[in-house]
Amino acid sequence: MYISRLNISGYKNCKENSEVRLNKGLNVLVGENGSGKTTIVNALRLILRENEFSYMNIDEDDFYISLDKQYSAPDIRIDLTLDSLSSDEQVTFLTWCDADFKAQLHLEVNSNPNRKGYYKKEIWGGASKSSIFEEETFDCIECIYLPPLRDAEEKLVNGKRSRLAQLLKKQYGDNKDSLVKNVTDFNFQITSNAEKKYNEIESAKININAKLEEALGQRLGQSINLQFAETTFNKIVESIKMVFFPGVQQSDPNKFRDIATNSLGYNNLLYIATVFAELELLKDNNMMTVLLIEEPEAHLHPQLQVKFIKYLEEVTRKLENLQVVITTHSPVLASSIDINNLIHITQREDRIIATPLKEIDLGESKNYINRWLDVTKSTLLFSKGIILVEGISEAMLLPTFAKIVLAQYNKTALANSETLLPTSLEEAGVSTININGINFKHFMKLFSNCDGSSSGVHLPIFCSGITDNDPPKLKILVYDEKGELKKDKDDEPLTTLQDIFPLPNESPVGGNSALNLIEDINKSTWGRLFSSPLKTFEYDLAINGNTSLMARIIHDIWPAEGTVKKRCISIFEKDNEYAGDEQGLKEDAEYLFKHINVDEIGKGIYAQKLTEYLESQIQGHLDAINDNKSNIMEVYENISKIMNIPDYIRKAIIWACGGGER
Amino acid sequence: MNRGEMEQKIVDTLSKNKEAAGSYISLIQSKVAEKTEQQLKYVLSHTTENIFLEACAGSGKTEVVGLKTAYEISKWYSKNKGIAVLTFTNEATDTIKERVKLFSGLTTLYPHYIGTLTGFIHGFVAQSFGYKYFKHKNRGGDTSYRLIDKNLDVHGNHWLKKYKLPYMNLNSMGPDVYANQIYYNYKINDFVIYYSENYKLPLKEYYQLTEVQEFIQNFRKKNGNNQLLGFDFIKKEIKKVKQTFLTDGFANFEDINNIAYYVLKKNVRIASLIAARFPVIIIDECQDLSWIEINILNQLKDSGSTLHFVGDLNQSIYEFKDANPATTKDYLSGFKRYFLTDNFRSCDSIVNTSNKLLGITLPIRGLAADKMGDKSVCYLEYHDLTSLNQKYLDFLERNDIPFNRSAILVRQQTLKEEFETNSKESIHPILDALQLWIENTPKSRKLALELASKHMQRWFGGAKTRNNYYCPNAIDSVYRWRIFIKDFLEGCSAVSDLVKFDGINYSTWYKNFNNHFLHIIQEAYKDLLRFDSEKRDFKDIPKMISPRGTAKVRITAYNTTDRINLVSIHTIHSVKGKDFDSVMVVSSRRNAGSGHWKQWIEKELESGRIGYVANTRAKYSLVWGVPVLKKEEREMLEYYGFKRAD
Repeated sequence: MYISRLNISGYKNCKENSEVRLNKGLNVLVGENGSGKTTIVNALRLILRENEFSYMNIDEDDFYISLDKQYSAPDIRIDLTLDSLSSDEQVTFLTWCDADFKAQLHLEVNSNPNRKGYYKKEIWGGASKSSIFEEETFDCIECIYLPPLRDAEEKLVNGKRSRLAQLLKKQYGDNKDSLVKNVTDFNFQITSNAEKKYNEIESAKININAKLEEALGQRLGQSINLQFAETTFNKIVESIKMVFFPGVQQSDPNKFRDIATNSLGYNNLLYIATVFAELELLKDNNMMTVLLIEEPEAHLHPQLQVKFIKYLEEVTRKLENLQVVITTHSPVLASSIDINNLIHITQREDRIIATPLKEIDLGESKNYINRWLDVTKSTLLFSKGIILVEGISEAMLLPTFAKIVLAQYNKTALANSETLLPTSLEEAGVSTININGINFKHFMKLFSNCDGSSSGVHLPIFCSGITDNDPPKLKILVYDEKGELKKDKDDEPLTTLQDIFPLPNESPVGGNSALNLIEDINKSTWGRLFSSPLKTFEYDLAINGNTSLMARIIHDIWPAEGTVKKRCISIFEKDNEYAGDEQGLKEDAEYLFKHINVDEIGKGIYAQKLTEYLESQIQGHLDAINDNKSNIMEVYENISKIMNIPDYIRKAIIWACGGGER
Repeated sequence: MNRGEMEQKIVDTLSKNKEAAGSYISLIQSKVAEKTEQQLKYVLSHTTENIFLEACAGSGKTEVVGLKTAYEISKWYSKNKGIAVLTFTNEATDTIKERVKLFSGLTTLYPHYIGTLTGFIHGFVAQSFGYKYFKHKNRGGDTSYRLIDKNLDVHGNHWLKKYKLPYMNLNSMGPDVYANQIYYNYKINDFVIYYSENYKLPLKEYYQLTEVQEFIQNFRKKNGNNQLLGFDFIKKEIKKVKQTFLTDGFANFEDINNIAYYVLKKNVRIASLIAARFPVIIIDECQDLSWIEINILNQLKDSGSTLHFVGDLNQSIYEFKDANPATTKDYLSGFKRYFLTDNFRSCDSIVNTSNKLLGITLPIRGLAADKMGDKSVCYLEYHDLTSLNQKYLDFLERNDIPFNRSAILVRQQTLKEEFETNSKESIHPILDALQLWIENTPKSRKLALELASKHMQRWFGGAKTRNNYYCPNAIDSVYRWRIFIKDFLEGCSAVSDLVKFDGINYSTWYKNFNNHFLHIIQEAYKDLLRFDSEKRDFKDIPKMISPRGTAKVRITAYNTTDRINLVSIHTIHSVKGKDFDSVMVVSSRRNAGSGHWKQWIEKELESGRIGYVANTRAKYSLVWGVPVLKKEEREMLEYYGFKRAD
C-alpha cells in the first residue's frame, strides 16, 4: 500500500484543489522557495496525525488567504488516496476503502472555530462521509517526520522527546521487565548500601537527613533517600544517552565522547541513523510507514548528501511498506537519484502544481538525462525560468545580455504602463544552463513535446533554448598553383570544405539538427527554441551592429602588436557605419569571427572580457539613477544602447523571464 | 465437559494475558458461577458454526451475549479482523459494550465492532460502496446518501417536488406520492407505496384498484390504443424517478437496505472483504430481523462469516417492518440450536400464564421470587380509563408495590394518549411550567424546563428530537437554548401578575401573559440571538388563549408530587427488554387490531406475541385491564390463570 495521490485545497498557499501524485517508495520534492513543498509535507502530517498531541492544532493562518486579504478559504480539505492494498490491508483499512478497493482518507476543517477558538476536524474514510470510520486504523499507519535544521543534539541526548527513547521503546516492545528489574536491583543496592559498597552515598544521606531534622524538627521534618534514577521503564529509557566516536569499530567505552562535541552535520546523521534503526524494526510488523524528511541536506557536505540519498533509495527498495517524501533545495541530491523519483513543485495561480518527472514522456532521453543531469544542470529544477545554451560563451554572456534586453523591455513597458519584468536573470530566478552541444531534444522534452515524444505532462517552467544556424560548409574544388584541378589517388577531384559567411539579408539553410525541433517545441506552452539567423553566436552578434565594440575587445586582449590590432582599430573606428557596404560588413564580421576562437584568445576568454566590459558599462549607467528614480527611463535607454542584442537572443531572454513572445 | 470444567475454561480464558488483578478474577469467578449450564454451554459454543440461541424472555440473554463476546475476544488472535455484535437499539449496544468491557477487562474493543445492525449495514456496506451501483452524483467529494424519512411531507420540503411519481394520484387515497414514499421489495419483486405505517400498498395492488383501472381504461379508449399504461410501463416510469432520487444522493431506510443487499449480491469481492473483516457476527434480538436484513446477513454468511442469532421468536412484534418469525424460523432451520429456558425476571405463575396464552411448549421456567401468591396474575374490568387507573393505583398501594417500578402498557399510541390526558397531561404548559419553576426544587425545575421547552420550540420552527429540551434545529447551542428557557421563565416570574394564581381564572392569566409576553421573550432572546441561524420576529406568534372549556375555571395549583409518582404509561413496542415489578396491560374497548385482549390469546398471530411481550415484562405482578366482561369471557380469562383483582 502506498499513497498515490494527495489533494489539498484551502490550506496554506493552496486555494484551488492541488493534486500531488506520489510514487511508491522514494519521492523527492524539488522546486523553488515558496512553491509549496512544506505545505505538502504538512498536509500529510495533518491528515496522518503525525504527533497529534503536540503539533498542529489548526489555527487561523492555516486557511488560505488571498494576497489582497479579500478572500479566505471557507474550509481546508485534504484528501489521500492509497493504492495497491494487499488483501490483508484491505481488511485492516476496510473503512477507508472505496468500491474500487482503493483507500481514501479525508480531512475537512471548517474555518468557523468554536467558542474556545478550536477548529473542528472532520475525518472520514472511503468515498462517503456517512460510512463508518474506525479511529483505531490510524494505529496501523505510522508517520515519522524529520523537520529541517534539526536540533539533533536535543533529540539524541536523553529526555522525553528523545528519538533514541522512542527507538528503544519500540525495540523493547512488551519485553521490558528484565531491564526494569536490573535497574531496580541496582537502585536497591545503592539505597540499602549493599555489601557496604556505597558508604559515601550512605553517609551523604545520613548527613542530609540529620540536617533536615535539625532544621525542621521531628514533627515537620521529612526524610530523603538517595537513589540512582527513577525506575519505571519510560524513565530508564529516556535517561539513556548517545555518545560517539569518530570512526567505526571502536569498542573501548572510554573513547566515546559526548555528542555536544560532535559536528552539527554528523549529529544530524546520527539522528537520522536513529530513525533508520526505527525503520528497521518495521520489517517485522509489516505496518505502513510514511517518512517525511524536510531538507536533509542541512549541515551535510555534498558527498554525505549523495551517500544519504543512495541509502534511502536502497531502503525504500527493500522495505515494501515504506514510503518516503523528501523536500530539498539541493541540486546535489536532485542530481544523484533517478529522475523517476523526482517531483517538481511550483506554485501557479493559487495552487500547487506537482509534476512527477516520471510522467513526462522522455523516451530514450530519460537515460541521457539520468546520466547527464549533474549538479549544474539540475538547477533547472529550482528555477523560475531556464535558458539552455550550447556553450561557454553563451553561458557567460547571456546574464549580461539579459540586463540590456530587460532594460530595453522595461523602458517600453514603462512608456506604455505595462507590467515590468525583473531587471536581471538572477532577479527573475532564471538559470542559464550550458548543455555543451546541441542536445536540446533531451532537455526540451521536459518542457514540450518534440522528437516524437507525446505526453500531457511537462514541467511548468518557461524554458527557451538558443542554438546556432550553422550553415553547412561549402564543398570547393582544390586547384594547384598552376590552376589545375587536384585529384586524389582514385583520380577523383580533390575537394575542401569552406566556411560560409552570409549577409544579414540572406537566410542560409542551417545544418544544425536541433533546428528540426523548433516547429514542435514552439507549439508548446512552456518551451521555445530560437536559432541564430545566419551562422553562429559570435558571427551573428558581430554582424548585428556590434563590429566596433567587438573589435575593441579583441584589440584590448590580443597579445601582440601588429596587423590584428591595426585591423581591429580600423573596424572600431568605423563605428558600425557601413553605409550599404555589405561586403565590407561581412568581411569585418568574418575577420572578428576568425580572431576569437584562436589560440591567442579563445572563446572563453573573449566572452569573459566582453562580459566584464559590458558589466562595467551597465554598472556605470545604473549608478546614475537618482534617488527618486525619475531618470529611470533615461538609464534604461542608455543601457539598451550599450550593445545591439540580436533578436533571437532577445526573444529567448524575454520568454524565459515570463514575458511571452515579444 | 462437566459444569466445573466449563466454568474453569471460561475463567482461564478470560484471565489469560492479563496482569490478573485479584479483584478482576474474583469478579469473573462469581459471575461465571451464577450462570446456568445452558448459558455456559452457549459461551463455549464454536464460532465456526452457525448457531441459533433461542433465549426466552428474562433469560439473561444480554449478559450471556456480553460474556460470550468477552470470551471470544479474550482468545482472539487477529489484529485486523473482529467479531461484530449487532443490536437493534443504541441502548442495547451500550449495555453489551459495558458488559464486554467488564468481562474482558479491556477498555478498547477494536478490531471488534459492537453497534446497531442499521449502523453496520449503512456504515460498512451501503454508505461505503453503494455509490458505485446507484450512480451517486457525488456532492463535493462525498457520496453519502442522505436519509429521507418516508413520512416527510412535501409541504415545507418543496425540493421533494422534483421527485414526484407519475400516475400515483389516480385513487381515492388522493394525494401525490414522492420518491421518498416508495421502496422496492425484493421479496415480492415489486415497489411498495408507503402511505403510513399502517397502510402500505404494493404497486401491483395499486394498479388493480378499481379507480386506477377505470382511469386506465378511459385513457386507452380516448387514445384508441389498448396497450397504453401497462403495468410494466408505469413501473418503469416510477423506477426512473426513484433512480433520480438515488442519483441525487437521497434514500429512505428501505432503500439503504436494498442498496446494501444489491452491493453484496453484485460484488463478491466486497462481500468477501466484509466477511473477512468480520468472520463472526452475533445478532441480538434476531426475531426483529426483516426479510431483507436476513438476506444481507446471509450474503455475508455465504462469503465466509459465521452467524450467531440470539433471540426469541415468540417476541417477534415487528411485522410492520417486515419481520416475520416464520421466515426467520425457516432460515434458522440449518443452524445448530442452543437454548436458554430459565426466566429469571418473572415468577413462575406469570411465566405459566404467558406460555399458556401463546401455546409455548418449550419447558420455560419462571425463577423470580413469587411475592403475591395467587394474586400474581389478575384482571381488572373497566368502564372508563380514569377509574381503571384509580383501581390499579389502589391495587398497587394495597399490595405495597412502588408506583415508580410499575407500568401501564397499551398497544396503541391513541390509547396511550387517552390515558395521558386522563392523567392530566398539561394543557397549560407555560402556566404549569411557571408554577413548577417557582416551586424551586431540582425536580420541579427540570420538569418546568421540559414543559416550557416542549411548547416554546414551536415558536422556533420545531425540534428534530426531544433531546436537549427540544432544542430547535436553528439554534446552534443546546446549552444556550436551555439558558434561554430559564431566562424566559425567570422573566415571567418577575411579573407579579403572572405569579398570582389564587382565585384567578385561566382567561385572566392568559390575558396578563399576552400583555407581557413580547417584552419577556425579547429580553430573554437577546442572549440567544447570536446562536440562532434564522431571523425572528416574535410579533407574529399567535396569542395564547385558555384552552377550550377552561376560560372561566379557576387556576388549580399544579401539584408535581402527584404527577411524578404516577405510574408511567408505555406502548408495548417501547418496553422491549425492560422489566417492572408490576405491569397492567390495558386492552382496547373494541375487539379490533392487536390491542384487544382477545387478540392476545391468539397462538399463531403477531397479536399473541405482542401480548406475550407485554405479559413477560412483569416480575411478580401481572394485571390485565379489560373492558367489562361477559360471563364466558370471564371464565376464559380465569382458565388461563387470571384472578379478579378487586
